[in-house]
Amino acid sequence: MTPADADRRGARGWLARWLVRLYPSGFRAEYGDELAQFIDDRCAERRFGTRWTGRLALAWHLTSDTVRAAAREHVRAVLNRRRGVARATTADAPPRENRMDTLLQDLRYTARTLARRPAYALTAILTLMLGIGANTAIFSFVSAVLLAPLPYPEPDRIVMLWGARGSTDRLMMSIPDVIDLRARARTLADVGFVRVQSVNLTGTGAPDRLVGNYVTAETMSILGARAAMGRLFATAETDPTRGWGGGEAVAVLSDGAWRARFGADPAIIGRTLLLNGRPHTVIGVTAREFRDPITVGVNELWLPITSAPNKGWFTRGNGNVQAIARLRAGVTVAQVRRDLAGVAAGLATTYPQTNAGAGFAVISLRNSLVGDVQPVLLIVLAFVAVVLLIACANVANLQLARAASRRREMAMRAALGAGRSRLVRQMLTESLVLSLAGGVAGVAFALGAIQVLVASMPANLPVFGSIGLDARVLAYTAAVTIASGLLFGAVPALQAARADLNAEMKVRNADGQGRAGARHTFVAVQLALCIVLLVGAGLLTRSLASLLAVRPGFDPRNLLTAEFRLPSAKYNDPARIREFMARAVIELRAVPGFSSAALVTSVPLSGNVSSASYLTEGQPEPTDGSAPSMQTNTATDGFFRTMRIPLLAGRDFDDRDRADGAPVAIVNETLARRAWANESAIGKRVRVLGPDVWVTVVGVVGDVKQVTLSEPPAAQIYGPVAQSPGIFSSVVARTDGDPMLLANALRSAIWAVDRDQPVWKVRSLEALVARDVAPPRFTMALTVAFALLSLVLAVVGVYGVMSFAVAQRTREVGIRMALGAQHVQVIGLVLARGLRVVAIATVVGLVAAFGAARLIRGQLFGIAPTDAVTFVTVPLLLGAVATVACWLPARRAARVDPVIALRSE
Amino acid sequence: MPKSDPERELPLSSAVLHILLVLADGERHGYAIAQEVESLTAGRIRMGPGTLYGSIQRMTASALVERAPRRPRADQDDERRRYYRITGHGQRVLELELQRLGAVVAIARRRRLLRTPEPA
Repeated sequence: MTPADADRRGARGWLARWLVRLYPSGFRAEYGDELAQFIDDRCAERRFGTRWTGRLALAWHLTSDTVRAAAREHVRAVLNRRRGVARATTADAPPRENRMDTLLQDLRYTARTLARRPAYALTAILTLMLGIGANTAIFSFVSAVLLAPLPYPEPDRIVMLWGARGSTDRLMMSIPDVIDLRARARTLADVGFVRVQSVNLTGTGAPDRLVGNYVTAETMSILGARAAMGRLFATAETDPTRGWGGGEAVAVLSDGAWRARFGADPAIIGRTLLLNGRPHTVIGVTAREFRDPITVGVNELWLPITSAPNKGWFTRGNGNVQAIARLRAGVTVAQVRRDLAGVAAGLATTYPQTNAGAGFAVISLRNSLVGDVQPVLLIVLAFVAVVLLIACANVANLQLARAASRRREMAMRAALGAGRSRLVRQMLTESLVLSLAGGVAGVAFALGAIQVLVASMPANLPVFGSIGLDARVLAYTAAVTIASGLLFGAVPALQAARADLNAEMKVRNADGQGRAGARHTFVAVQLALCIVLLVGAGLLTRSLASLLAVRPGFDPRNLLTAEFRLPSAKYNDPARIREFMARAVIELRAVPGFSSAALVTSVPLSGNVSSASYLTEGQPEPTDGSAPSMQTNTATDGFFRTMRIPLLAGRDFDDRDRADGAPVAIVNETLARRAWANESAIGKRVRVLGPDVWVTVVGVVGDVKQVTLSEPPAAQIYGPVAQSPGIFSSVVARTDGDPMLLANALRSAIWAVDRDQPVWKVRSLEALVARDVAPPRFTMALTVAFALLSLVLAVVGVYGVMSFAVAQRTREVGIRMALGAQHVQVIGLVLARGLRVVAIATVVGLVAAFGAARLIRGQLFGIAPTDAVTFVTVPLLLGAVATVACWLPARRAARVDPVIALRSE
Repeated sequence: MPKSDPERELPLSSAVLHILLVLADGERHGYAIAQEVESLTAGRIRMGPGTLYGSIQRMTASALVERAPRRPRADQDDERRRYYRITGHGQRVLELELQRLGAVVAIARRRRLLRTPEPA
């Protein structure tokens, strides 16, 4: 059987065929079949698994093995041939110094050739620097975010638990639900409570706020936290079954908070802190290296869940916590999901009023951390990979152009006794030297690029490793560098090998058609790839534009906001809360520079939101928890005026809406339309489930984007603060000038009511809007930058190849002009050739972009992946730029003086 | 076949040594050799196809191994598989290499360079 027969067989035929082809023909004839069989067998092994990581490991294993072995066999084959057929089968290793000699000779020769053409070498190295540097920089992010192991014991066994209802997951769960879940789930070894919330710190100077996390002892043990001083929680201290306030009043500080807030006080253990108005004893400080995954290291304070700020947290149906859990050994996430679905079903039967239709969401720790950024990072990584391909095509073309002028040199060396393989090796050595130089420059470039990227990256990137050039990143860079060298060096090397030496010596200055074909192919590939990137970047830009065009429903200019939470120990009855809020409004409105001010529970785009199910009067109550949902909020009068949310019908809240008055509400346009379609909403009644109260609609206001600008319109309802006073509130104030200049005035107004009340997150509404669009803006900026870089590289490629083609055809042009051809005809001749390549590339590129655009569909807002504007603009842009790149050399050709052109021969 | 002095083959490369070790136990086809080397070394040596057949080529050329004339259990075999067996020369080389390694280990033990105790 011949190897060709074997090649046609096999399930993984293409891989085996491709790999086997890398060996020298003699070796292939002897072992080709067996190699193919071996590769088949290895591919069939189970241990690599079916996941993409497994496939990648397998592909790497086979490819690296083949490349190493094939290279060795090639060298052996060459040496054997040189020693004569008689000894061709001996297996003696070649003398070592011989191989080294060859390599050193090749390197010396390379250094000389490159030094002789510094402009060529520099262009190639700079091009590669950009390509390899961009890849290194982006991969350092991928490495730190997606590949670095999470710094927790057996992170693959840690999951985050959330509530789920219908298609919405990541809902908060109620504490009783999690207590039951913990008791009933058989697949979970340990369950810890988690709730991140600001905590008031008083009695240590100015009232302050700590980022806190209400947890149980298990939360810390699941994460493998260690105390650097003191100790962590004991299970009984945080036991949620002891009810609100039933645990111990103890606290654990993070290392960062201990240093920054308490001056690294060595006597901190045992100190009493007034947290949310209640004394807590500090029992420990976590180890310096410990970073919690929930806030990615921002957290400052751990408190027992039993120290929750509100008794309401312990009521079933009130979603206030998430949970973290460790899987039992050998249990899969799918098994946990089935297990918890059973638990949820049980709870729904026992507590239909609160739990009907409610479930649990199980999300792996890694996924809950990087789920959002993973697709973005992979898109950007794909972008830089394509940029590098384009850069490689550029360098390959440079080399081809040079090879054309070096054919006589090659022929000379061949005539003096250099074998073909020696010539090929010389060309490859040059390519690798260039790519290594480009790689080294690229690393330097990446160092700078990483700093720029880190400074401008959105804050939500969950980075556990450090972003920088560690071993993994450098290994990637090395692999990319060598692959680039082989890639752009392969075609010129093969052409050198194919060269007909005799012909080369005789014929002078005729560009072989094959080479011109290769150059045009490279240019076409570059342009096509460039189109794919331009379309991708164009789509993301258009998507960002439509996101920025979204009207938030309020006027964010000159608006200042802040948040505070009254300590429930001190404000322990609704009347006191009401009094505080009323006085705060008066103080705020008295601030010079505030043209209006109000209080609201959840400021739009601040990250705060609550929701409830509702029914309108006359609607039967569904028993399966399928009542429609709305976003709920409370506000004082003047909120809508301050935010410039239009009042469409009825009235704003006013003095009539007192605690003892009839319960009222203001609804948004969407809720009014959904509930009462064509009737007026004013005077209609809505039943808010959960608290189960009837409220009468007194006003209708415009829709507001509460969570993010990209959310679809949601039903929204506002109650007056006086009728449902809560300890948490936000301030909104409209200012005459720059809102941030009045930050201190805002704090002072609140402190005028209670000088111990911490106020935090004092920021402008414009900053909140900017924060909301920061991640897509970052993605857009990166992809546009890389697409433009690819455009520059591709255009330089077109220009270079056209210039070269013109230079090669100087004689032809000269003859044509001597025979009477006009300038226009010459320009047309050259231009036509170039534009044909551009046209073909555009068609291919658009088809490829059409397919690739679907991969970024998830990142697009408000436009289709087939967006016509993008798909029309990009080819026009590229066409225009490419035409200029072709036209410049064409014009030069037309200026040729026939006499000089003919003499140049 | 050039059969040289067995001493000239020493020291053996790790791949060659392990292939000889496996074939000393009976004839095998290529993939089976790689599998067995991997299991013998608890996964420390995972031979790729190129490494394996590159070594086999060299070992065939220096007559350490040879192709087995028949194929056992023909019914189960893929026709592409070929079996290899160790030659007398290969046996000899393997013994010499193992003696050499044994001597090295013995020295290391005497000088207390090797921590693990001698097996009982």
